[in-house]
Amino acid sequence: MDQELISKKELLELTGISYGQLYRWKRKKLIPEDWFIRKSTFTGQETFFPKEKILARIERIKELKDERSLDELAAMFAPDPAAVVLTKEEVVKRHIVSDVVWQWLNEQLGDEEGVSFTQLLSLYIVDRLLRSGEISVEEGKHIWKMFEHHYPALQGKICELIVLRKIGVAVCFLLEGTADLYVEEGVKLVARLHVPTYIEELKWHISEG
Amino acid sequence: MERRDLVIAGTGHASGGLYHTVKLSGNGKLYGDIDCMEMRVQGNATVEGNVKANVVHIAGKGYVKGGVDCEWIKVSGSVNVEGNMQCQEATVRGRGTVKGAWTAEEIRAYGELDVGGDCSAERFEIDGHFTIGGLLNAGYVAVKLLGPCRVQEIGGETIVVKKQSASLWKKLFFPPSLTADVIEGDEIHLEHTTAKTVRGNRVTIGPGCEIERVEYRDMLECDEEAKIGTVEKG
Repeated sequence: MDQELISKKELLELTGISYGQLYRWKRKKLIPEDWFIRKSTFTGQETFFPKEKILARIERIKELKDERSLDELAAMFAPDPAAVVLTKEEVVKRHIVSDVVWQWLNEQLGDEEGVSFTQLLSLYIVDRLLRSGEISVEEGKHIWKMFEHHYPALQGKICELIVLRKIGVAVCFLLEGTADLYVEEGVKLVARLHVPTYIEELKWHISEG
Repeated sequence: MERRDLVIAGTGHASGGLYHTVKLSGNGKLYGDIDCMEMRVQGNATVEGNVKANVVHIAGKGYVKGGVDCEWIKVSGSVNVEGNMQCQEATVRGRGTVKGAWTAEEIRAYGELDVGGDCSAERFEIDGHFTIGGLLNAGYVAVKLLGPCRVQEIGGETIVVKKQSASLWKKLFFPPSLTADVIEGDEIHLEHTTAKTVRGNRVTIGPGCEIERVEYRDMLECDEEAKIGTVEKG
């Protein structure tokens, strides 16, 4: 995956933050470890960042750092979501997922009132996929089941959800970390989702609602 | 589950588990993970597993095969942790070794520290010498050099490295100095430091320094005895 990189020096000049702030945010885990990319240049070792991601993140931190504590922000950005439990009412009220998808979970939950973050996340991701029109409702259900079953093992780690289709049959799986993917001819890569991105999105939905 | 106390006096061993207070006097060995409120060691203790506790107090020698997760740790003597160490406050008098990464709010050491991976803390203060394999990331770094120190990288807000007067014998065989690849911070004061790159807002390079490249924003002060390669104002 090619992405534009920005050096630490350029980043500081562009955003107007100091070395101290950058290290402090790293320490507080506001900036993920794997964004620090080391490369050797003619002046020795230099640190680079994925440009788009880091700029967006720093803007967010600057916007919010006066209102919220760094720890609160860290909880928001962390790939390991806090033990969030929502009630059914809250989920419906905040329109986090569409009604069709919500029905599935409702059936599964039965009388239980609380919805865990993992449950909500799997539903949220499937919902996004459905809305994009890439998958059918039946496929969505499979993905949802797979995700709910396997995600707990990957919790807190960076992972991707991959959906492939060949001659109308869809296959989905979770991939730990990020890696290059090479598939056979005739196979369509239906979707490749970076799970942490969705975790963040979902957290915003929850906290803003 | 009820937490009970575990006491070993003399020589003995016990299994891991959930305890209230773990007290080892003499020579004790624990097999398995320990989860306790308080762990007190006087003498020699070995834990073949992880330690989770509120308070860990070691007077003598402690060895942990796994990691340590605690609020407060105080060591007089030596501690050796094979895994990662996570704590709020750590005070080490003597020697502290962590093979993995060390994360804390406050680390204060008098003597020697040896960290294999990264070390991060809000405050990192040491009188003595240390080796850190990765990045030392701290809000406030205060080093009083008493021997050879080595770290790959230092990053933080305020970084102060000063030499403390040592005995002649020590000066001859263990010259106080700090060696680093990169040092980056807002406010930097260095003495007897050898580094490839130093970057900061306000930088003071004191006596005995050898820096290949200095980049600063607001202020740079150099001692006459310091050797500096290129200087760039950014």
